[in-house]
Amino acid sequence: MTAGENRTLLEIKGLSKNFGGLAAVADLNFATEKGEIVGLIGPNGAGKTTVFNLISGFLKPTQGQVIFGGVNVTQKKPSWIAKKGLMRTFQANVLYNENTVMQNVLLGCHLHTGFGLMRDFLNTAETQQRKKQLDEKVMEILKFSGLYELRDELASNLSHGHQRILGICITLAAEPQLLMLDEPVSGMNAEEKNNMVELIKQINLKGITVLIVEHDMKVIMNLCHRIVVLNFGMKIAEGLPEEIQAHPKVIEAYLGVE
Amino acid sequence: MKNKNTTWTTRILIFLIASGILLPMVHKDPYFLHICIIIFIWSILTFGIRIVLITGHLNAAQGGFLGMGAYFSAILTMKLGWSFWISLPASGLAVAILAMIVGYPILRVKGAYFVMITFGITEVFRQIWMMWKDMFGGPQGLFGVPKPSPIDIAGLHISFSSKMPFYYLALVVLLFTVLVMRRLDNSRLGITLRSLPQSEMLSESIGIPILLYKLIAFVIGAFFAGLAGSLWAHYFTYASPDDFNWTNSLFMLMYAVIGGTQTVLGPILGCMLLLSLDEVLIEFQEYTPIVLGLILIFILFYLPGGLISLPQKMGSLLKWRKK
Repeated sequence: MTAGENRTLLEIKGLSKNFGGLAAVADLNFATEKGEIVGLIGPNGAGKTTVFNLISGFLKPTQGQVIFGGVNVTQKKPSWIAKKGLMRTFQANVLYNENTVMQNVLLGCHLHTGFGLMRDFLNTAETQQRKKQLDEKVMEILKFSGLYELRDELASNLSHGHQRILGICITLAAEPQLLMLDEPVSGMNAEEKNNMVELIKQINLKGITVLIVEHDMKVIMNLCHRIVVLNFGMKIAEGLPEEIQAHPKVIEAYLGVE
Repeated sequence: MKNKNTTWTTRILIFLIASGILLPMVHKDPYFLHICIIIFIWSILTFGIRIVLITGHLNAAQGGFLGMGAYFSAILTMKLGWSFWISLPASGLAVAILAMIVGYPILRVKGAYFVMITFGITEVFRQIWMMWKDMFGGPQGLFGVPKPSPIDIAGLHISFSSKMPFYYLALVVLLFTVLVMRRLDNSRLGITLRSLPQSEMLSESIGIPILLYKLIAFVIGAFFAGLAGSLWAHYFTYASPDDFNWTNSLFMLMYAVIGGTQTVLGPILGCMLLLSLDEVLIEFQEYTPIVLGLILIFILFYLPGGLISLPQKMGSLLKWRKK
């Protein structure tokens, strides 16, 4: 057990959230290990996005704990949690629309600029040097994700698929340990989906743990090492993709029973 | 494209600074100098409201901070006998600290609610000045604020009894403001502040403590309002509660929006044009708000980037015609 504990990155213990009388999430327990891709699936309204919001601090849980990298991050601010290395993307395309692709990713570097506001204000030689390095880092991320050609385009002018990739690039610039993707392939065509799946695999190869919410079962089965299934805010199944596909409770939740 | 813009901004700035330094040597009319001093003080204030405006917040407390700066400076020189040269930065700092205390709780609020809260803060300040007679002199305010004490620079004895030295004093403070704001604009702080209104949620999710950043902008804005207030009190030699109400914040907002908030030239341009217009229309004083309002409506409709975006707009129009 001790060896296993060291590998645990994110641990959810008895997480619950009530909106008035409605229990959106009830007594949820699961964990992700370092280097895994874990899928979080369930029918519409199962509470997947709520779980994301609870983990990333955008919502405060009614009960339970979120432990990330051995640190209790429950009830903390989103920016504080992000600083610990837990990043998320959003279901909608949330970007800095009036900025270029490059500036968007540069803003993502906020946590890793390596200089304070005062030294930045004084614009010392060291800061200028550091800024060049940041520009290089941004270019690297853009090349990695395939947005390099579009670097000077305004974020609002990108196609939906490229906007979703840019959303991930911004979080990559923030150097996450755990990346939570909220429906990364929604609204994409087949080719864009394949690219995104490839990109997520590449991100995972860099050693970044991925937690993913997605409705597209093909994508989920293709990507995930392990899957957690939610229904009505409760965990109904957890296991390997093959196990989940054959799980009677999962089939019941998605298709209903006679 | 961006580099071209910044070099142009620098050129125009250098031209403005040079003419600011040289003009009073050619044109010594005290009335002209008076208008210039007013423009300088308002420009400093407009810079203060702009730095909060770019985060997506309209700070209606700026008028109140201006008043607090004026009163602080008046009290420091009159009651404690400090020199103007110490009370100028001291009132800036005092107002900045005040803004820090006030800003921390209220900067969680957004949009119209933030405007209303800051509007209320100005009114609270005004009531304090009116009620606390021993300290702030009540409804008639504090009279007899001394002019800045004479100083010796490089063997020159400068006394502030005439308008010319005060003109240069205000110009120096304005230059300091422009330099700081320009550096801020190009630094990470400025870039981050401008990104906030686009998506606070995204900023928070990548680890930017947005409340802290908004507070920094708010405090910087208040600091410059404090400096402007100090200049105001020592120029007019009084501080009265009637001068510092929320309509001042509205005027600053108008100057900033009409001039344009994109670059540091905007606030200067807005103040220069609109305050000179005020003087031109002095015969029809009661109608000037109508003219200003019409200009504002016209700008918001046809030049949302403010007057500063006019050349760019003209350029794209010409291109469009050629096609």
